Amino acid sequence: MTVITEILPDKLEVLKTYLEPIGLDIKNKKSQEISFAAYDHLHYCTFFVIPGDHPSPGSSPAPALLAFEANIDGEVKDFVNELIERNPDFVNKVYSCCVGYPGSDAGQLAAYLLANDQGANAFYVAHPGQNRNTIYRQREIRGHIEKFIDDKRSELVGQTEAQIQAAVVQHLQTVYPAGIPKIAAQPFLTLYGDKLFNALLALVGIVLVGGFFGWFGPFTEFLATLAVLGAVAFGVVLRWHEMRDKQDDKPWVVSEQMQAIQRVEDRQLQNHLTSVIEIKPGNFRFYTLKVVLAGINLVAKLVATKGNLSGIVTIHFARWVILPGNAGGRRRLLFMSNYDGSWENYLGEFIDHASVGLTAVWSNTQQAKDRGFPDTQWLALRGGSRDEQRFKNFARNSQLPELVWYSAYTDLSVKNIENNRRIHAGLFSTTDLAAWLKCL
Amino acid sequence: MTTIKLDEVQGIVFSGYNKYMANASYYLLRIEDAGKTKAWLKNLVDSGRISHGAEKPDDTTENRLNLAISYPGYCKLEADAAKRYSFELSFREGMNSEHRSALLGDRGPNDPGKWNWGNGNKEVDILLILFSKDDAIHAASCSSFEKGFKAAGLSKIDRLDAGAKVQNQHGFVREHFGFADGISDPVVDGFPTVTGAGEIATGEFLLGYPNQYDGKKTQMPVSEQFGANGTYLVFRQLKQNVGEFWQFINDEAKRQGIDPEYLAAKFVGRWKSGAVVAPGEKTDPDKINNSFTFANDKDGTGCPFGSHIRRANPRGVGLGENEAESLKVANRHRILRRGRSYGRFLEDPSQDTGKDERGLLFICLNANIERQFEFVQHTWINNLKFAGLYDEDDPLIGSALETDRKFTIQDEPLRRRVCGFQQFVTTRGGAYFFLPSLTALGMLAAS
Repeated sequence: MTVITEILPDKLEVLKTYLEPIGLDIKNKKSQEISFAAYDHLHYCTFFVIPGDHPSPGSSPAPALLAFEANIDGEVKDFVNELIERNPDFVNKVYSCCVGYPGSDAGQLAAYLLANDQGANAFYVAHPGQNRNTIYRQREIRGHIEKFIDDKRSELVGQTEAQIQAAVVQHLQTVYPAGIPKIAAQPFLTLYGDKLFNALLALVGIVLVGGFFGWFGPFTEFLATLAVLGAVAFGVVLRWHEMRDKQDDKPWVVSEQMQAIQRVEDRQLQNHLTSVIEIKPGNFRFYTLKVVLAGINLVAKLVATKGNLSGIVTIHFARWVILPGNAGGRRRLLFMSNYDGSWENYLGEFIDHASVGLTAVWSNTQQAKDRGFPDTQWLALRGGSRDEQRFKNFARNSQLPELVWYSAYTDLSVKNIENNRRIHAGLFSTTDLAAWLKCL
Repeated sequence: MTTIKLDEVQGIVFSGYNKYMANASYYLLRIEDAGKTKAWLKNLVDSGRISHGAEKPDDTTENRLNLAISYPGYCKLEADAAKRYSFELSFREGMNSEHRSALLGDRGPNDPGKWNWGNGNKEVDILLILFSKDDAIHAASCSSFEKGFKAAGLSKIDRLDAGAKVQNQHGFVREHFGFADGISDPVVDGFPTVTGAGEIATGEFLLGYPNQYDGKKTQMPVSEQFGANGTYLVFRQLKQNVGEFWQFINDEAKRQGIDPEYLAAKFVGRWKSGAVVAPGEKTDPDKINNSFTFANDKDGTGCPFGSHIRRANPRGVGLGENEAESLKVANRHRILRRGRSYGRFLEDPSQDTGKDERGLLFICLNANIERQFEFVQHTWINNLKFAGLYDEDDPLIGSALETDRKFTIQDEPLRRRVCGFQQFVTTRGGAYFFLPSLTALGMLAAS
């Protein structure tokens, strides 16, 4: 969920002063205000302020917004209810600083949060179906197995794979006298989504090509012809926009404000990236972006369901949200991502593996009139994020600091989580035991 | 093939002068009087004493001289804030800044607060590297330089001397733990030693030339005239706890019932000879081949995933969908090493009285410190999650975990694990420098 609310101008400082210490204390967990760890459906959450005058200085002032991003298991409304029920004071203190705050009645408060939930135009989850408790349990199971192997390796190496597995299972039975926790089946889309996606692509392809040549009757032919003409028209308009949006060659560097963000990064295994960028003016860019995000959302739901978003294997959760236009008419794109490793690595992975998708999104945005995304041709096919330094500067300068950022498992990478699941699943499997032993 | 303006580029870019220069001293200097320093610098540049790439040293060459400048040093010579700001952020912040320390793993015993130099009032402005052919010549030129420092407005913070060069049977320089070093320095396009196109673009190590990103040029500081043919130089004094390392290896090998040489080779990823550890191998084949990609060792049963050389350069496995993709990514994060060992070599490496210090004067060159040196150090060497691993850093030089370090040795049917060892390498000092072209040095002197 992504709850976006307008902050009352005179409450901005109050809100910051309240949330900042909670954010700083998140690791020590000494805060009396709220303990996010108590929410066992919560993976990650973030509070941050989108400043009213960001990102282009000199434009008409807009109200500051409070964004609350939470990556959860289950239904949003259940989480919202639990959030309020467990920590009503926290929720009231935060949202009494916002426009439209309905008072402390739990039902009204929940309705208020849900009404302001912008969801996501595109949402990626590394491991759909891996709920937080499962992740915790599988971490624990792996710990027991690794320790067992450390202690007994010399005895185990002489045995067959099946014997080793049996010894591990036998050991775990002593750890879990009530029975080794069962492995849950993976969701249908995680297992077969990519096949579905390919079938869908093939179908669209056949209808378009076949339709164009009149195989399926005049109506389909008409539609396919319309689609082809539409694509050509889109290409022409796009190129016109791209030529008009051309950037100058002046190099520009990372601002002082962004350096402050950089200074608190890379101290732990995971990082959070929050970026807000203006969408280029006019409806053409806005609708192009919407379509691109819908495409990414489809890929995320069907294809990228195994901890790998187009070659990037470090993202736990990522979401793209188009913010509604404000009084000045500026529409903005909000991007939030919880990832493993350093910023430099993350951005590098974007460039190395996902240039097309990423450029297709951000080539529709700019930081200010003279601070656009690196020059791009054909939406994503050439240029764009491949201009490494300029792109990194662009990304850096679009970032916002978080007031609060919570991770439920700071010690686990995306790959760790998947490996832990495989280790767990392997306990109940009789095939591929050699591959299973390699996970250990 | 790229054509480099060799006579513009300082010589150390192309060579560590290991062949003809037996001696090397690293002067860490502070500028006390910028006016005098500029005059001294001008004199040095005009006299043609600073070595460049077009010269071909031979056995009659007596000295080589190179000079790099840190950000604090640049600020003393240049008042223009815009020019200062145009350097990359890591260089401006400095290696000892809080953020960079966290990134590089310089905490605990490596904390800049405990360094010999490069911190607090021992911040270095100028790095002067003096190479000489033999002891007598070196002593004479060092003394002549040292006498001139005061008149040059300079004070000496420290002088670090490289130790004797020890080579193995294949002619590779040996480091203190006993392993052949410097085997896989990048082959760079356009370098005099390289025939044909090199595997790495010139712009990765020299500004003003195409880099690994579709021939783009890395942003140059100050101006094109100043930045071109220069590069960034990273200097770190790394103390090697040789005795502790071999003591641990011997004890642990005994406990696990394996050969200590085998265990140490797994840590490094190479045998002492420099040969990469291949799957199934139990002893040093003493045969060097550096044109491998790990494609034959996808499970890490030869060269472990977490071993030093696999972390320092993962090559063709693990960074992309296929070998080519992975190599492409790996090659965007290479560094060019030009350092030397310091301190006396131990006859028996397990007998280290700890009386005298030994280690590596690590020098590397790169066009972008953040994307190259810092990336390697943070995302590969010190990364607890490297290659899908859990909670282990580089067993040889890692500094992400002070204690209770772990190392997994992939094996069939079951991995072997080594637990509970300490850091074997400690940072004793360091700084980021810019290694200007000869033109840029002249501009600095005249600024």
